[in-house]
Amino acid sequence: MWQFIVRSLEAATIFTLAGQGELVDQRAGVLNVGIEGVMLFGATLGFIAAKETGSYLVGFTVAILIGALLGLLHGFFSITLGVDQVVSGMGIWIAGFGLTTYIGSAYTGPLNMERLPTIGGLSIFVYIAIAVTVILWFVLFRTSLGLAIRSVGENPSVAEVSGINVQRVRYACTIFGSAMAGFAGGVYALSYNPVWNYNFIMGWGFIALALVFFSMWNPLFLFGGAVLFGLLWQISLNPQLVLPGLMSRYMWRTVPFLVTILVLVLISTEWFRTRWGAAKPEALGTPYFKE
Amino acid sequence: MKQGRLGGVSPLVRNIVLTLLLVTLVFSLAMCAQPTPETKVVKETVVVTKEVEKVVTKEVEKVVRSNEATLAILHFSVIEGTTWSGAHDRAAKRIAQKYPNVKYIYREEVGPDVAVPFAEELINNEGADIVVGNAEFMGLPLNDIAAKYPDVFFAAVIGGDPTVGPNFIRFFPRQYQALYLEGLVAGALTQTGNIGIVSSFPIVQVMRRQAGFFLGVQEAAKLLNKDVTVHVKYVGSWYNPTEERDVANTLVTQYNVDVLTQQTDSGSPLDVAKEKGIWFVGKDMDIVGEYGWATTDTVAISFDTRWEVLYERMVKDWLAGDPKPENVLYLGMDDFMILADGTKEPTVDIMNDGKVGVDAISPKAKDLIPPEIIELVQARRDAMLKGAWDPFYAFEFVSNGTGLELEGLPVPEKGKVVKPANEMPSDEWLLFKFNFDLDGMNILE
Repeated sequence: MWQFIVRSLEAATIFTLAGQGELVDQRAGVLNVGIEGVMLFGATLGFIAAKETGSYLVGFTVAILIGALLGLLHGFFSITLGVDQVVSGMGIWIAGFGLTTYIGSAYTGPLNMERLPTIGGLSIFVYIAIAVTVILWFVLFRTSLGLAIRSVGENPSVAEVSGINVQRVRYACTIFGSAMAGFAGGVYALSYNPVWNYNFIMGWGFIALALVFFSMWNPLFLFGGAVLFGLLWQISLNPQLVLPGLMSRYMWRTVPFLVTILVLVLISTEWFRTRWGAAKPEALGTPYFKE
Repeated sequence: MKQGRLGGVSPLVRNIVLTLLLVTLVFSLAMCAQPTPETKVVKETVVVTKEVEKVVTKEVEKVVRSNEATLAILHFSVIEGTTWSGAHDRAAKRIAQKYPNVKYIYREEVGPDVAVPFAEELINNEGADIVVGNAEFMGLPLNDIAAKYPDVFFAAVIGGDPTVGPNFIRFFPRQYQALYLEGLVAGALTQTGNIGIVSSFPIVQVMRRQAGFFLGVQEAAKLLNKDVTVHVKYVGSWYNPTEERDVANTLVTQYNVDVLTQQTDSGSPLDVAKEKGIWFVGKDMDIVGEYGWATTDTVAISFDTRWEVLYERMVKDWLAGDPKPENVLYLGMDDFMILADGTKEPTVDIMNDGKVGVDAISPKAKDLIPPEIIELVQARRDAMLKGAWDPFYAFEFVSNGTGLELEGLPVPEKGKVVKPANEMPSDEWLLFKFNFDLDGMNILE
């Protein structure tokens, strides 16, 4: 059972890191549906860098930097040019799928480096994910910077009038969010499953994206959702160990997505909006140009 | 009467000269003619002289073809770093190396939706003569255009679907023979009595291969008086690195597996074996010698598939102008190809770190394996190379009661002897109807 919990938390860590970055991005009003592609880039280039240099530090640095660079690119298209954010994000995802396959094929196979040490049997990144969650919650809801980010995502015109540089905040959040996705890819490729294979993220970026909606744009809920998704992921692999005979593992696989749909339905109801307030950033996905 | 220019020449000489002129004209025309790339069907009369000095004539249909061929392979995945498409690519290169008149072209990551358009593009623009789909799911659609291009050979790996056609070839190597030898090694190596298979789908191709491995494990266990269980867990995909890793982890941590193998395609199970310090048994390709993904400290044994032995048959049939080639190729360890460098290689063989036969067993593993098992591996391999022995002939098939229900073919009930010992099932049965696991396998949910 301990192993089951460990793997669940390690999977949750990757969902959390990618999801928290996307949450900040969306809180500022920018949607990046291409985080799967960013994770692929981070995972592949981080893996190659670590393999070539024998250094995890270099690997993670490259993963974060490539993520940030792609965030800058997405920012240029969606903030400066004001193109459709979904289209820009899809472009990054498709490019990630194709280019990383091309770049990484020669590195197919295990990393073959000494595994990173664990703390209390858990990967160090589990603790980092928890720390990131707490810090982000604090920044978003207890600091003026967080207020600025949220106001840019809710009503950029008003934010601009109150002296906030909307473009700058959006760029910073987009670059941060994408860097976190690159980092999450690095954690996947250098710690969770350190074997390069083409397209090996296999949809985890989209799970992270779904988690942001699931979390109602709250970092604490996102972490809770990530742990839930991690557990459901492990149950779907080994249902006979936890709930034998209940339903097929392939049915279990759909549960996280069914839960997400239920949550989305819930948060769109009048009852929820009046009880909890509208959680979705009002200006999400909408380009802003200074009048 | 006015005489012509040859008027003064005798009729004999004139006839000779005219005949020579005629012959010269015919030869000149023949020499001037360009070899046509088009093919045509001609009736050829072949005279066969038998020992009884009786002359018989036999009419055969033959297609006149160019003496050059283009072999096109549609790879379902990328080539580099993969054990399946990588082995197909290597095979085609070996064919092109041996036959300078054979050109190899390919496309990667071909799905079932694009197999036909890619094939037509390769035929019409690059002159492909033999088009191969290296997996069943994307190779089967090629049959849809087989009639449209009667002079092109189409081929698809067999997964379990029995579709064949006059120019639609199905093929597979008898990998179960090498897997049986691997099973002997795995059965001897396990200390916990638990061996795990990270598997893909419960389809005929996979169940047959697992059966070969399981028979080897059982025989080693019986000889060594050990109680060994083979646990099989399906991922539901040929390729899902994340799930393969988690399934491998489950097998090790929950089922106490100390020898791990796979019927999937990513390197994740191998990495888990290395991380957990247990033995790994490879498949499809010599992953240590070919890719260096691990050392023989982790990989106890592996096997190598030489698809070129099968491709050579197709190429030879095409070049020979046979309009109806052998359309089901199921070749084993007693079928060989001589490579360009003179190496004689069987269709499949145990291979690890570039070594074959018992030398393919990891030196570290060999120290742990009783000599009678090593000798048995050697003896059985030798017998299979000669075509004198086969695990599917020697052992009975008892159903586990699990498997895949096929149309009109339910899974045999548990304990039923489907095939007695010392009886060889037909190729058709093995390729398309072997739809159950062998008794004693632990198929996990």
